[in-house]
Amino acid sequence: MKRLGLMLMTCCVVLAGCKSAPKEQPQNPASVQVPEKTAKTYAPASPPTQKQVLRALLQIQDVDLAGIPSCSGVGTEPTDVNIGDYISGFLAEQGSNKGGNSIEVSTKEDQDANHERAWRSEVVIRHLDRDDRWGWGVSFLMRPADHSVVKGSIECVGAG
Amino acid sequence: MITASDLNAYLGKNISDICDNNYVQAADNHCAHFVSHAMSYSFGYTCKAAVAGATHQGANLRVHEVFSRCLNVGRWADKPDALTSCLVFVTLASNVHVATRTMDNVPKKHIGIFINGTIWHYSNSHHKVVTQPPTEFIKHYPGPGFALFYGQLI
Repeated sequence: MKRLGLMLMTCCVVLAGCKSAPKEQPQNPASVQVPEKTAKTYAPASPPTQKQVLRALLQIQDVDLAGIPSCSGVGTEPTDVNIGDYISGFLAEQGSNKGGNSIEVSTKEDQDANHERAWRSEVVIRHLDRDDRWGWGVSFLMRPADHSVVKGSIECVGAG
Repeated sequence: MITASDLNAYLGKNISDICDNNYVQAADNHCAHFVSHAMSYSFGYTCKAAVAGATHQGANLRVHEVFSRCLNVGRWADKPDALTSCLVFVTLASNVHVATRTMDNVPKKHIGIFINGTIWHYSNSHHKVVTQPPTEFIKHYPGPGFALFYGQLI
């Protein structure tokens, strides 16, 4: 008991001997500079960048697979119901360090159902390891003005 | 009914010699694509749908879609002896649900056409149609858990 008490006292002395780092003085909130968010701008004449296409893909993650003929049953698990589930399944398959993995992003000029100019973009997740060779992804139209996805244009691509 | 002679005409051919719709990228998987061209399976997602402006008859591109259309499916060991011509699938056994005739769309799945002991299939690593016996076909993917399944021709 005495020994325990001595140990606790020693610890207290050691802790008390440690100097705490000097605390920063709180700044005047008025003087803190918060960077202003820059509004996104789009050049309608230029195709979306690869990052913008991937961002658009993330935006449609909640779209149901069942309502799109090319997407019906493409999930890697029976419980997969939307684009997010489908893409997550194939991204997870790239977890192995065997073979080569890539994400192929492409865009070409196209038209929507109303013959309005649009960008046909495609994201394909690929794997290549001898006979273990596949590419699965999503194709969709993006409006040039704001890069929003034309919902009825979504297709699931892939073979094997 | 397709014959061994019909399939031998495909031996050694690249998918570009088989598909008139120009769905021929070497990086894509063409196993179901070859089988569907040979068997004239134009249902589901096809090479015609996948290529803008394609005009020729499409062939299905997806193994799990072909599996679901088979008249009868089962484990290879349960294949009726009388079934000497059928489709053959190799994938992880856990991806196949025989009772519901469904196969999960996992990447590691492969398909061929079996006639009297020989399997014709598209080798994606060799980029051509080849033949193998079932004892070799089951080794298509390394690792444990893979199994053969049969599907009665559509």
